[in-house]
Formats: sequence, C-alpha cells, structure tokens
Amino acid sequence: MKKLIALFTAAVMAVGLFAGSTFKPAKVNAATKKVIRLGVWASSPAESELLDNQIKEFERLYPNIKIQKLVITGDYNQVMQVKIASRTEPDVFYLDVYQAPAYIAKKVIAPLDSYLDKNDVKDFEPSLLKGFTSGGKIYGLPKDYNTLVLFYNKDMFKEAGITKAPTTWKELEEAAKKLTKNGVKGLSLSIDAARFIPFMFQSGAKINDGDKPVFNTPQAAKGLDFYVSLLKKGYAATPKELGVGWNGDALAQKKVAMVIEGGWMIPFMKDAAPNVNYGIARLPKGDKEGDLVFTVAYAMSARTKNKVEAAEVIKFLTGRQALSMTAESGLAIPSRISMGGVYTAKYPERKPLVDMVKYSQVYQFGIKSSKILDALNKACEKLYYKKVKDAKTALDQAIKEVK
Amino acid sequence: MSLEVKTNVAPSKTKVMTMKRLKRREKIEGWLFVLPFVISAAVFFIGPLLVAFMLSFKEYSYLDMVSMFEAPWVGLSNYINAFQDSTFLRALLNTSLYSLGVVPIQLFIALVLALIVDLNIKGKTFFRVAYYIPTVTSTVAVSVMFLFIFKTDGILNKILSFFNLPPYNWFGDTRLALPTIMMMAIWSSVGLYMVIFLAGLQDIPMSLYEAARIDGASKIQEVLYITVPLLKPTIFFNLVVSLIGTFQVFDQAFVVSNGTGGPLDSTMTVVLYLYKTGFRDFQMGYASAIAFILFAIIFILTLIQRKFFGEETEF
Repeated sequence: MKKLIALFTAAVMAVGLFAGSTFKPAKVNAATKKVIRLGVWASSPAESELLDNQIKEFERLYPNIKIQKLVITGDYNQVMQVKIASRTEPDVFYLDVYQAPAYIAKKVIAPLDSYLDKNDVKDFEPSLLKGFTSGGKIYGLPKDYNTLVLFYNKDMFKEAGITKAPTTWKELEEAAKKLTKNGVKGLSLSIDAARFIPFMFQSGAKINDGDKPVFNTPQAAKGLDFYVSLLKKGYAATPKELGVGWNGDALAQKKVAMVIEGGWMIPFMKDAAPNVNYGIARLPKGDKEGDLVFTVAYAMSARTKNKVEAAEVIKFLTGRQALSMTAESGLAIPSRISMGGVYTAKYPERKPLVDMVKYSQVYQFGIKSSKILDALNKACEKLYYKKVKDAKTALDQAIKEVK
Repeated sequence: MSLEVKTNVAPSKTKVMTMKRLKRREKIEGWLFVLPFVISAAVFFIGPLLVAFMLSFKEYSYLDMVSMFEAPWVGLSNYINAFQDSTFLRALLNTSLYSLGVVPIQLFIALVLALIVDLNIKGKTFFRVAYYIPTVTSTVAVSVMFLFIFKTDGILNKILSFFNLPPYNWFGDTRLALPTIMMMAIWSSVGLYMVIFLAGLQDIPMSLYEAARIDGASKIQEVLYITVPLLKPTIFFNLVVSLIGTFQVFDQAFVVSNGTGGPLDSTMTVVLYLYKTGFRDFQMGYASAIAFILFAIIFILTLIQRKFFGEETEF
C-alpha cells in the first residue's frame, strides 16, 4: 500500500514537472501574442476538424491572438464547474442553453454587449439569442442549433399507403395506427420532457414564466395526454419497451416507422442504417405549431484577463465566415438567419429542421430548469404507469414538487 | 559518532545518549518513510473531508464567484432539508432495500463458492479465476452487458418465452428495476468476497478438522462448528466491506437509468441523488450534507456489526 502511495506521489510530482515545463513556451509567447483558451467538449472527428479549420482561419486573420483549444472529456458540465471553482476555467467556452440561466445568475460569464455590433446581432435567430439573454444583456452568441422534427421510414409509409408525412395530431395518430403491424410500431416515444414538451407547446401551454413554473394548465395537460395516449393505445412504444437505447435505434433497426428527433439523426443514420430510406418532415401541429430548439453558444468567462481578444474569438466563431463553413459541412445548422439559406440550399431535404426554428422555444426553463424537467418527467411516468387518474393531476403534483 | 569522543561522561551514560539519539533518528526515519502516505492522505483525503464537512453547513455551488470559505453559513438547514426531502428519503429507502437484498445473498453465495473451490477438486484454479473475473470487470461494462440480457427482446425474456412465461420490461418497470440492479451487483462482486473467504479458510488449522474427524463429526458439523465460528473475523470484514459498498451504489443505477434514477425514482440511490444535487442542481452544500448523513449511517451500522461479529477469535 505504502509502496503504491509512494509511487503515486512520485507520479504526481513527475506530472507536475512536465506540466511546469510545457507551460514555459506559452509564457514566452504571451509577451507578443495573446493566448485565448477555448473550452469545448469532445465531439465527432468531423466536427473537431470543422472547429480546427475555423480556428486556423481565425489565427490567419488575427495573427496577434492564438487560440488554445482545450477538449474536455467526460461530463462537460461537471468538469466546467470544478474548473470554475478552482478559477482555471478557459477564457471562452461552449455553453449549453440549458445551463445558461445558472451561469448568468452566478455571474460566471460576462455580458458581451459592449463588444457587439447591434445590427449584426439581429442576424441571429431571435429564439436562440433569447436563451442567452438576461436583463436585456447578451451573455453568449449561439453557434448552431437543432430543432425536433419527424423522421419517418419512407418505405413503410409507401407500403401502408400513406402518401405524405402527417401534419396534424389527428394525421399523426391515424398514420401511427396504420403503421402499427407485423411487430412494428408506428412511433417511438421516450418518456422524456425533451420530447413531449413540444406537444404541450402545440396545445398552447407555457412551461415557465421567467423563473416561475406555470405548467399545470389544462392546455399543458392536453399536450401530455395526447403524447401518452399514443403509447397507451399501442400505436407507439418507448425505446425501453422496444429493447433499444433511444429513438434513433428504433428507426435504424426498423422497429418503428416514425421518431421525433433532431439533426443528430442524420450522421447517426448514415453510420448505423445506411439502407433505411427515411424522410424528414416538420413536426405535426396541434392547436398551433410548437417545437423545442437545442442550442450551444460561445460564452466568455467573467474572470478572463483578455476580454477584448476573447470577444474577437467569439465574434469570429459565430460570424458569417465561420458559420458558412458550418453550413457547408452540413454537421450543424448555423445560428444566423443569413446562413440558414446557405444550409438549406446545399441540403434541401433538411429544410424542415430550419423551418421549425421560428415556432421554437429554447430548451431552458429559467433557473429551476433541472427541477422543472425532473418534475415533468415524473409526471409523464406517473401518467404512463397509471399512478394518477389524468394528466392534470400529474402536473398539479409536479408543480408542487418544484415549489 | 564524534560526540562520543569529545564528551568525558561515563560510558554508560554515553550509551544512553546514543540510544536516545538513535531512537530520535529512528523516529525521523520512520516519519520520512510514511511521509509520502501522510502527505497524500492529508491532501487527498483528510483535507477534502474537512472541507466537505464545512460545506455541509453552507450554501455553496461551484459556480459561485466567492470561494467556498466565504460562502454563507446556513447552520443545520441542509441536514434538516434532507430529512424533509421526499426524493432523498426515497433514495435512502431504495439504498437500504438494495443493501438488505444484496449483502446477505452475496456473502452466502461467496461463502458457498469459497467452500467449493477450497476442496481438492479438478480444475479449481480455473473456477477461482472464473468467479473472480466479474470483479475486475468495470461496473459500467457489466451494466451495459446486463442491459443486453435484460432488455425487452434480450436473452432473459427469450428464455422466459421458451417456458411460455410472459416477457418483462425489466428496467422499465418500477417494481423490477431495483431487483434487477441487485442481481447485477451480486453477480459482479461475489468473486471478491469469495477470494477473501478463501484466504480465511486457509488460515484455519487442519489439525482442528483432524481432531473433529477423530471425534466422528460429519462434514456438515465440521462446517457449522469449526469453519463458520473460526471464519467470524473474515465474515465481519466481508460484511463491513460489502455493506459500505452497497450503501455507496452509484454506477449501476446511473447506467441503467441514464442518470435519472427512474422510472419514478425506483433506482434513485443516495449517491446518485448526491451527484445530481451537487453537479446538476448546483447545491454543493446540500450534497455534502447528504454525504455526511450517509457516512453517519454506514458508521453506525459498522459499530453495530462490530458488537455482534467483532470479537477476536483464537485458534
């Protein structure tokens, strides 16, 4: 044991020595060149290559600023918290819209307004920017986004004699009913607030009003009821019931005809099921259109010493040039309105993903986001396992839990 | 040594002096030898422990701009909140049920396996290794493997359907999810306890068995009256380690429920809840309080066990 500990101490010291020696050249450079550390999470090789190219382009245009990319592996949110607590967070870092309220409330990230051109900011999709705005100040510039859309198996549709993708709840239910046969379910629906909240929006509900949860309305109950009713009637099944990990697997393994997912399905289907002939359609609407949008921004640490340079990095990486690279790559949907056109021109079949953004709200529900989502998930589970008599009761119980 | 030459005191006194010096030197050397351990224990164990204890009386998150030492004190409210938090109480209940189910079954199976591989049977090395392999496998890998076995169209349901039994949604059913995790835990850690039992068994002198045989004891009597009583310290050790391990269950519950503790909190364990409050809900102070409640529970349980199993056994 002691030997082990001694060995461990020696190892720690050795690492310390190495770390010390690698830091030196950076310090030498710092005199002539400002170094901006950029914190990102690990992504696919294609996505890292895109970012590397964007960084290369930036360094060519701004020779006095060097970007040092820090890839954070493991649980990004957890690692970032530890880095912030130890005051070693990167100058600029990825921030999921879901985490934004906590980061803003704790003043961990700096407002960017004084570095931004007001006219240029108008080019960002307003619903995305809203997720990073608080008290009239902008705390992050979104780099890309994903909406939820309907992915459907074209062959199954043809076989069932359905000529077009469903556009309303009624059509969705009818299509799901027709497609449920020979061991195949019409739809795969997970018990996940990130999938059923759009249905609540579609029936006219709101989840939160600022930091106050307001999801126990009859409208919200209507949306949740419809979602769970598809499961109860047997036209849909959860990924767990289907014996798969998530909705994507269900479509790839031809266990269902339809799933509700985002743009991440496209590279997944290419790898996992190149033979499945699928189409993308807008999310069917209820009383009105509604959808969730997931987005990530570049945010600036409130403690960075190089605010101006950090702002340049953020502006470039969310600027027209960098985002046109994103659009061309097809890996993500650029967050600028002007670049949405570039994306849909190159990938016309993916237009529904861009179309849905104007009906969408960001995946974020105030400072209590995580509590609200836990409570909503539980409400849906209760309804699904028949622990409550109806959706309204489940939501009434859920709202008490949040408060 | 030069000191001896210079001083003109009596030789016996010099000897005392050098003895003292030697003792002191030995002490310093001793400390030098344990220094790496003392330092690493202080830095990586005792320090964090004290900080966590302090945090349990504070309201703090890692995102706070003030350091944890400047964070506001909230007295005992974290502890009081914990006992009024229905999710925490549910987590405590789940963890207790899990522990109550896993510990006895696991130790019983481990003891039986140890007795078997202790016999002079053919290929005992193979069995020893085979039973131990799950222990060295990562719990995450084990969980993923079990997900395959227990999924709705997995192997287990196929076997059930062969006997005309209905298939179950093992991880999706609020009543079955926890027992399923328990099965997983028993399977994956039984080997560890088997090895420790084996070591205990080999410590028991053969002469006792020989004497018993002369007295005409049967094999079962040998196990009940010699093996089990003399194995008491090993049983105690295993009981404590296994209890601590089960109260700290995290990986299996995390993988099976995707970190949510679902369905309907049926796989929510204390450590999973602690992780959730600390890192997802940004309540590090509350999470620390939960950790210390868990510590208190394990500590009390260990003391109780010591009362029943802890006496020294003499051969």
